[in-house]
Amino acid sequence: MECIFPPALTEQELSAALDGEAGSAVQQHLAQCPYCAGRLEAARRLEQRLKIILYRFDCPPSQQLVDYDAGLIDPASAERLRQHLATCARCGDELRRLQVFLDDDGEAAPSLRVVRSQRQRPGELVAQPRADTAAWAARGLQDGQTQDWEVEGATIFLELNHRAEGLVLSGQVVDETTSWTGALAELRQSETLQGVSVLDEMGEFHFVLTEAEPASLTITAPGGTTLVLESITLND
Amino acid sequence: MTDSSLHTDKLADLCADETTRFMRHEANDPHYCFELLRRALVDSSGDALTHVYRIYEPLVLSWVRRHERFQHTGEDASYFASLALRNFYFAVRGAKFSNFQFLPQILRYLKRCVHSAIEQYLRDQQPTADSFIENIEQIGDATPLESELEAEDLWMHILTLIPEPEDQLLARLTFILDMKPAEIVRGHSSIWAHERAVSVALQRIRRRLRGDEFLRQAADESR
Repeated sequence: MECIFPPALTEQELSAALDGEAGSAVQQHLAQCPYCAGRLEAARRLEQRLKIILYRFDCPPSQQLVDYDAGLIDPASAERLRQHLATCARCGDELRRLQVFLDDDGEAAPSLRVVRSQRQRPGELVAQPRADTAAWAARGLQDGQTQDWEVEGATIFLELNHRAEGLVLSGQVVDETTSWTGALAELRQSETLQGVSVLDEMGEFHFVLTEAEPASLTITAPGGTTLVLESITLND
Repeated sequence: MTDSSLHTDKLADLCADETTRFMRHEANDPHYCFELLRRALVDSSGDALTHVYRIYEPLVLSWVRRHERFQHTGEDASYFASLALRNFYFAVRGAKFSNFQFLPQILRYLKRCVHSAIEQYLRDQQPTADSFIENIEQIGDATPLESELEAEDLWMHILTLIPEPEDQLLARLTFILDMKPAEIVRGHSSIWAHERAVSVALQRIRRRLRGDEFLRQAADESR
């Protein structure tokens, strides 16, 4: 294929088009010439690929930036951050916005109703009940009813028991790759928080509930990975 | 009765009352809340943690809504409130709690966690905002460490293609920090006096990158 309106666009004209700064003649050429439009597309693809991979890859995580600002990191790390900040406009912007945010103590009517959407977020793994244990079932010598949930190598064993204090939902996370000791489990019913529990060294947790409404459970490992169990039915 | 001998439920009631006063900008006693937070974060008490969530989630939600970049996320505020509370827990639990001596100091840190939750979310979205779906999936599949290693290797390769320090700086500003020519001129006018100078230098860099077989293949993989 060749340019149908020679001469073909120069590298400089293509570069301007990539930056969104091309003049109307270049834009018109690109609209009508498949050859030059293809060259621009190839250049844009490379540009996008580079930005996707490289975007702020050497910036410290935002949490580390706020720790630095709060004076909570060790001197050696603080020095590395200072050096980074000297050349990174993006991290500098983040810290400037942090200061504005901290200084803003304006009124904000707190909403007591927490509305959660069902979309999956980065770092979240949505578990599903295992097909053969989708319904609560008695198993072995255990007193209660059990159900197993799974996602990407992690299994969450749930057990439901009726006790004098209420409905007790116990669980354990078993995972060969991630440690769940010290993870944080949050249980909600009808978008209302029912309890927060810290997983013990066996990856176990438990909640006492007064209602048998469907529940959602999120379990976050210290490394940030979050397991999500939606719509756990509590009617055995 | 001292704060430490109070039952957690009673302590939480007192903390909730004082928090209501705090939010009305009235005089309040911070000791109950500080002790409740200590039990939640140092003792890892599930009961105390539950109360901390219930008491502070509305305040955290209001902070999320006031953050200048929250509207850019397209997410609901509760997502960031949960994220901030989780990050706060993992950042302050155990021995790290001793970094804080007063309630206002620890609440200010919680507010910082709101900021970092929103900023990190937007940072993670930025490079995929105008990209192809398959690129988004590829990035989503990579662990942060894998992405970082891939990025570092790629960047080292690019530096070999453009050895001049000014070109390396411009490539960094363009590809790593995603700065536009006008923004680059504002921050580096001593090197590039106007946008056209940036465009000319960038064109040279792009031509060298496009001429590299490894980079062309990397771009083709994203098709």
